[in-house]
Amino acid sequence: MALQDTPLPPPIVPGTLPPEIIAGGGEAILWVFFWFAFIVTAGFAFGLIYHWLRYGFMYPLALLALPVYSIGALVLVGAMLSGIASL
Amino acid sequence: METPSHHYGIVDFKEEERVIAVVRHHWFVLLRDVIGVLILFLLPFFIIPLVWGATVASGAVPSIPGGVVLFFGAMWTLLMWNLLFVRWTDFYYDIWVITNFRIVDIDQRGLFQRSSATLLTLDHIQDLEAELSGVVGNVLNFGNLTVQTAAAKREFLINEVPDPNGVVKIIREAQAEHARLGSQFPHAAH
Repeated sequence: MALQDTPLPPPIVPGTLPPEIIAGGGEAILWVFFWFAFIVTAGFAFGLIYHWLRYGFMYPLALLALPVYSIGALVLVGAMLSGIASL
Repeated sequence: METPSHHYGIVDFKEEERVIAVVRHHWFVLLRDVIGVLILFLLPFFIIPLVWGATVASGAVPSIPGGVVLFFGAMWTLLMWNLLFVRWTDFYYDIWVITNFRIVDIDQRGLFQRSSATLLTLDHIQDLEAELSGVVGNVLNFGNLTVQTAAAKREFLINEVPDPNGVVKIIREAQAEHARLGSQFPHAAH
């Protein structure tokens, strides 16, 4: 086969994701990030809520912080899921 | 400063002992931490559009779908949200309890390290020195408290507390009460 008949591969831009991953197939990568953030948040949430409930009788504001933190965390996890769903 | 009915889980809390005041760091300490978290939170929202915008304009990469922006925005906000509450818990749980017997340091480091230690008993205090340092400390009336003990020639520092002169006064009053108790209940003096 002559050299001029060989189709040229698409240009590779170093350090960037391929367009098809960003546009459509990027969900898998987003799920990896989602589970990372989810596990980190679960760890923080356990530590915080454990402390707030255990010492809440001595530190009354902790019992106020608990619903504020929980609602905020749930809304943000929901926003992450909405981001994935909208792709 | 608070005067609660419970004793913050202090071990070997004596029968005649009473919590006189609870001292926390000044709220400016928390504000400083919150500003730090806020700057960290805002940083990618300024830097990434700047860098990405320039790259997109050069035609090297396609623009990012809105869903991806929402996802990473929410993820970063969630991580900062966690950090913010960890800082607040650290601030709120870190206290000095002044009783009519002693000063107890309840120290919260991170989420799973909490220590409660008697800093010193009141009859060991030789000298108390309050210091307001810096412009912010003078304007907002917070600073450090140095406690010199007689026995071991040691110094203790209670740092960045609100109204350090007021705390000195409270400790002096607590010392007076301790001396009175000592004469009434000689066994309770130490």
